[in-house]
Amino acid sequence: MFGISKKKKEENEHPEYQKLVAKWDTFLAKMDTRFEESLLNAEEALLENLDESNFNMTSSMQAWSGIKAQLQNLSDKIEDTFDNKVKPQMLAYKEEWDIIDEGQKGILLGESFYRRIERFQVLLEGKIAQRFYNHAVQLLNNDFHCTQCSAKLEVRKDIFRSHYVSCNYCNTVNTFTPNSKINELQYVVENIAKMKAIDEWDAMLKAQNELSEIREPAEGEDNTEYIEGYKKRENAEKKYWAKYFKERYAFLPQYETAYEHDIAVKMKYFYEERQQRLGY
Amino acid sequence: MELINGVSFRDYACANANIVAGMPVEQVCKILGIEKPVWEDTIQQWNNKMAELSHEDMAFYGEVFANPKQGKFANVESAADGDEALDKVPDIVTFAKIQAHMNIADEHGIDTISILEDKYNLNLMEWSKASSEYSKLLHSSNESTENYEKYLKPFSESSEKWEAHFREQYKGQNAELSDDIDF
Repeated sequence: MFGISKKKKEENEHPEYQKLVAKWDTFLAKMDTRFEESLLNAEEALLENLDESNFNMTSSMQAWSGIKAQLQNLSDKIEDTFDNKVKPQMLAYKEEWDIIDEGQKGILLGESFYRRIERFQVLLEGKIAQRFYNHAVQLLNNDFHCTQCSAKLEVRKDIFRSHYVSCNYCNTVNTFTPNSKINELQYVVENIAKMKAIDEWDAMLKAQNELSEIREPAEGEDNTEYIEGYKKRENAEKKYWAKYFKERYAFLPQYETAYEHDIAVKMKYFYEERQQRLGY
Repeated sequence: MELINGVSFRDYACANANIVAGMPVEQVCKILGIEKPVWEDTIQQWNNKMAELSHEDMAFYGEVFANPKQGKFANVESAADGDEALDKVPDIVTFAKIQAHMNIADEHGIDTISILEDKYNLNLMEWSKASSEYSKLLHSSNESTENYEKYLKPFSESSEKWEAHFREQYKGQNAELSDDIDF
């Protein structure tokens, strides 16, 4: 501003203020590092918890709930530290207006924790789901015999709920009722699919954020950039859902015929919003 | 009216509500006149259609859990009968306390079902019924100052008090992640 370079500006700062800025930067770096370490530790602990609890996913997700709250508290600590310790000291050297950027550093880092927790949760739920799946699917290989003639029956590996199984020997229709772990498989495949679509998920969020940063043009204004933003978002969302369903159908092929319908259902809210904003 | 395996959406919603209220799945199947594999296929198919439902159907789905004895389930005796839930959660400040307890316990990774059972002698079905009743009252607080004074105000005050109490109670249960990092 006014042709003063950043370096020049720093040279004009009070040395005690510069020390405060350096101390604040160090504090933020430590909080960031602690956040990343905590995520790694959490993953290790929760996967271990799954094994030790005989694959009780509720127990693992409950434990995650507690850890997640602690991770979110890190964001609160950053905000409290700036408001109660950093800002009062900085105000001895600067006007409030001049330390907005320092406050922003903390806000941006704290906000990033929430986004990173969300992404971590997608991957964590996927890993827990995959580990549970690998364990539970073995139970489908257990012996299942015809109630009439005792012939061994083959159970389908892609249906995880009660279903009918005809005996090839005596034609009796038997009802296969899975145990509770197998029953859960129909729900865990959702989380595995989300995990496998993480790259497309990242791209979708990026496109959504970029669109949200484009100001909605007033009537009569050029809306080229806005339309382009919507196109990018549409493509990114479609790609995510296409990948998600492809991975889901790998476990549940009987639903593959509903592909077009499933994509249309997921894109419904996007098209409603676009209709409202752009009229098509 | 669309049917899946002969089951309409409203039948499906009532069936789910009765299951949550404690009705065995076998009894639900008998009432609907279908076998268990068909019921499970029906669940999957109606679940896939949830995003396409009308606002009216979605509203029905939200309300049926407070009143599951409708349609084919209207005259069926089941665990959904009785007001035990409201005997155990007799007023809105008690509801606020239990809800605060569960929220704070959840933040500390504590099993909330065991909180309901051990501390308040409630099962999930009873808590669900009580929550539904008191949620309706809280929602009505928008309608008049009288309702606000009677429901939302005491609920908010009780929530704040009990959240602080339970935060203190569970403090130290989990070490904070950054206790050693100071400015």
